Amino acid sequence: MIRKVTVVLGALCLVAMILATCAEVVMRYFFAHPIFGSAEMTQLLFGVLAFCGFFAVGRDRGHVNVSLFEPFLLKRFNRGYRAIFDVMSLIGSGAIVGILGWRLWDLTEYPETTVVLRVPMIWIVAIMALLALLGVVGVLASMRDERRVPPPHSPQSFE
Amino acid sequence: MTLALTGFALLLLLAFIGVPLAFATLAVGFFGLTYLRGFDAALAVSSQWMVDTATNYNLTIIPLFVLMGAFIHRSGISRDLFAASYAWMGRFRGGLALSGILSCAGFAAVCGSSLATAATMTRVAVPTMREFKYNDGFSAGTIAAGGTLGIMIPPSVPLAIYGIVAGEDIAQLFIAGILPGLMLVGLFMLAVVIMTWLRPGIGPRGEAMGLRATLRASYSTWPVIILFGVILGGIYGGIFTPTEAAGVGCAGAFLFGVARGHFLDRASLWAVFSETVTTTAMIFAIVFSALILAQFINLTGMPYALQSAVTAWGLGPVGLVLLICAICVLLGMVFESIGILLLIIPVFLPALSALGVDLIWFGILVIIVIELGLISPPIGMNVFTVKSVAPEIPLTAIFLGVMPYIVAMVLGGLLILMFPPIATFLPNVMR
Repeated sequence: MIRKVTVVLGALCLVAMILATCAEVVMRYFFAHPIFGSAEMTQLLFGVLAFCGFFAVGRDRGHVNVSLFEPFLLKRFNRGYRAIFDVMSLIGSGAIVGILGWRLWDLTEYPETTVVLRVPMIWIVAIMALLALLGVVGVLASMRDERRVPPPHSPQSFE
Repeated sequence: MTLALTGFALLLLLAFIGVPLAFATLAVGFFGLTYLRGFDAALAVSSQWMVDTATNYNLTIIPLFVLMGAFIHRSGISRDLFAASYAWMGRFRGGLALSGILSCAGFAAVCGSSLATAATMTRVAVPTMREFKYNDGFSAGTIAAGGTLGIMIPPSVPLAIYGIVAGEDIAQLFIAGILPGLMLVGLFMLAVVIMTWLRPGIGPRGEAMGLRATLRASYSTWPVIILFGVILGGIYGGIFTPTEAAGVGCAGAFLFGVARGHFLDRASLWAVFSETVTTTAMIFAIVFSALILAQFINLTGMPYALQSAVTAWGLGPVGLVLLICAICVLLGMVFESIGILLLIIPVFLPALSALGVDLIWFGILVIIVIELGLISPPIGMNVFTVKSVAPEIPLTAIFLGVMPYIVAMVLGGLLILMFPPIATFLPNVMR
């Protein structure tokens, strides 16, 4: 369910980004009337999109890792190696939430808006923080999962 | 300098023991900043960078090109490209391998991902090559090497990331990648000709096709030519910014897929968007972590200490570039391309600028070196990708199969090093 919602939100952001950029080109060249703030709109959509995949990546153990010693470590220290990946993914995802949370708190003290469209940044950062928090949920869900598949982006399991 | 080197050593250690690259980088960057400026300052800097990076207009190019690649990847164009290349090249000795290289180049021109190019073209080309009794290692090695063209021939995500980190114009970098990309295609084809001339048994001739059949096969590749032409032509002609070109390219790739009967159901759209959203998250996690690490490295003064050291050693621009290339080759055996760009470029940027190195030319050179890492042992992501799609071919055979292409790539790198206009001619004309 969470995956569905976050991927659909990301897809909507992508579609909106495409429409905004294409419409900007069409309006500029064919109607000599560029869309006001389209670049900023694209930026803000990207801000949300960048965090939409955090749940899916955390859930699938999809964060990129260096797999030079992976075959050896999986053979000799299977549980330890996987535990390091999982625990550090959890701490790392939590740290991102913490860092964004701090920015959110900062914005409540010193509110900011975007330059052109005057969108309050607090809303954008709040969505980012929420999506990053879902990333932590994804990692926790992957740790509860009994199926111990290799991280999907290690070369050994790339399809 | 010692502090920065300790940070890099810690980063490598964490990465080697299985910590995801993004989080290893974030940890070293954040704790490094904490050590230098205190916890509150580290938090302020990191949070500012994270949000600024997430809303950086230049970075919006990444998900859009990833999406375009995903549309192209799933639109079934790979078979048409291979059929068209085969129609022209099949009659020659090693013709299927030549076709494989050409179709990889065509696919790369609208895909932008090395792994997607290698995986897709392996499914299309390797079974046909086996049917025609091609040597297994030679076939798989050819496609693994051909796949590397994905990050050189524009549009290319690593080139865009290099542009953002180095502060160079992405449009000029894309234009600069055209001639070196074509040169690499030529060198790879030369490698096939030499290999099949020395050992004719590894790549026998295929059947010759008549002119009408050849033209008919070529006709089906028009969408790729149009898409590539619109993107690069638009950027070159100053009609689009690279981000707009990516947006238009996405729309074009989608419509092209729809015209071929794809993306009309929810499942295929889900697959495309799911792939794009997760890939964006993975790349973005590495990007902002690396930019936070770069802040720490800058505060240690390492880039400027390096600049002084380079001047003191009398390395000169070429010496420094060779040194960086050597480091990239070593890192390329371990890290993936985006990680290398984000870790290495900020460190050496001041020294490169001080020595007057053309950063467009340097970017192209670094991309070739990173391409080398994609097929070099022990990791060679493209080799493992081909292996995972064609598991019956032994890994050693594929690594042996890519050796001639490694030589071709080194030769290509040396040519660009000795004759910089190969990379700088088109961007200079564009200016």
